[in-house]
Amino acid sequence: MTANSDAPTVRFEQFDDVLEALRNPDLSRAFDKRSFAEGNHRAGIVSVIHGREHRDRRRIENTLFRREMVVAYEQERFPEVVEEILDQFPEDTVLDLLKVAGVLSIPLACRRAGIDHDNDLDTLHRLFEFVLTFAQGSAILDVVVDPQQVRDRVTAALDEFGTGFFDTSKARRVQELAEGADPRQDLVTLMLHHRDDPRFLFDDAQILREVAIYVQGGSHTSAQTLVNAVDLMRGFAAPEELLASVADDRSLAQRVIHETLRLRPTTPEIKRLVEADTQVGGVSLAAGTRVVLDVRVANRDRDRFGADAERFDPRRSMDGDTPLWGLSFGGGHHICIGRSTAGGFPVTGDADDEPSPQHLFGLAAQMLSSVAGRNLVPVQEGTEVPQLDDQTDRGTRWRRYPVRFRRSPEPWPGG
Amino acid sequence: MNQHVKVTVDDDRCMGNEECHRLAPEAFEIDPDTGIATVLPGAGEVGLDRLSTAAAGCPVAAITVQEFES
Repeated sequence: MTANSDAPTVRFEQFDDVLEALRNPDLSRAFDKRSFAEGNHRAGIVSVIHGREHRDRRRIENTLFRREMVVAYEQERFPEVVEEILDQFPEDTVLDLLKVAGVLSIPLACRRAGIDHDNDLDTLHRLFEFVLTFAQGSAILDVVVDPQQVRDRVTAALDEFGTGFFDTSKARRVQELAEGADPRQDLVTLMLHHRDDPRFLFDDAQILREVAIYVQGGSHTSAQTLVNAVDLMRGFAAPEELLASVADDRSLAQRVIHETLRLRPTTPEIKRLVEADTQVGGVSLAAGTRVVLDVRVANRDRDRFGADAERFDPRRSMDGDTPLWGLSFGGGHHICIGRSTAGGFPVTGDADDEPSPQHLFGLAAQMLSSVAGRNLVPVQEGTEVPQLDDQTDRGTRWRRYPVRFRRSPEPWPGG
Repeated sequence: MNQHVKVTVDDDRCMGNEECHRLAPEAFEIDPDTGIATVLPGAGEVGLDRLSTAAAGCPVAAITVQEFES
């Protein structure tokens, strides 16, 4: 099914309707096939394909996110990696929080994707620059600049990422598989292992695109969410106290991240194409109809989040069925594959509830606790002010967010 | 009359998202070979509330929980 330019567009913004639409198997992500097929790194990747092929791909790729693997990394490796990287940033110097968060999230994203790299800041920054370019390609439907320029930049970045990182990482894994070594738990190895499966028949270009998306998906949303969390905390009654609390309390840090995801979804509008006549929320949708799901509005549904749904309140009480992050990780067949890694397990109930020993807090919460522990202070001086990304109209993405790390806690500007 | 619970997973729908295993590990596990959720023996003893929560938590609505009497 391909949408034509004069196809009708139907918009949903009630929480239940958006959830129903996300779970409807007759709605695909092929909202605009051309934008994602020609010169876009999302062509043929798991998050845009549909139906049986998508299901089979998700079945094998979901194995990379099994709980025991995520728990082991979150509890044993990631805290150490974060502190090692943060140690490389100087105190009392203006830093861009988006870049700091980006390089913090790169090692895990690359580990899952199967990209080998050094952990020096130059390499991590270089990888995150690729991510920023790939993220523009992923948001191609929302860019406010020439889409062809974006596609050209993505193509060039993909080539450079391929020769600079992917080719050597892949060659190493090809050799390991040939030698019968225990397969690594990463995407490159997984796709090489399944490349001759008649259901998939992956070629190198497709593996490269999927890997690029994993690196992007595993770092860009977490980085933007960390920046959004700090920005929302600035509006809190006592941001310095909240910062001190999240430094020591990962459960609260997770609630800050989830409340941030709810109010500032990195994809505020999810788009779908109706593949076969169907219904959503009692509305008949003919094949070919474009559907826009307004997550930003749905996540402020008062029936789900209370009369103060517009307010940033990380300690908000939730019923047992609605996760605090709302629909920001999507839902249904295309629910974000890395949601547990980035966000941990969904938060419901009260802020005073004790998490179970098996609870996952997510890596974004770990990053927030760690930067809070460095006495982060937002900077608001002259030209050093937060700048939203003006390349898309999403409004929840940042281009730059100046901060400093201090030796001891300090009042926040305007706090 | 005894109350019983029947739990089934739609193999065609399941994508191995593992939410069921997270929410009710005594009732569900993921088959490592197929990547599909399977219902464990004794799942019916887990309790209707938790089984219903696990079914509701499945992103693709692949789990059905039915109560019946015998």
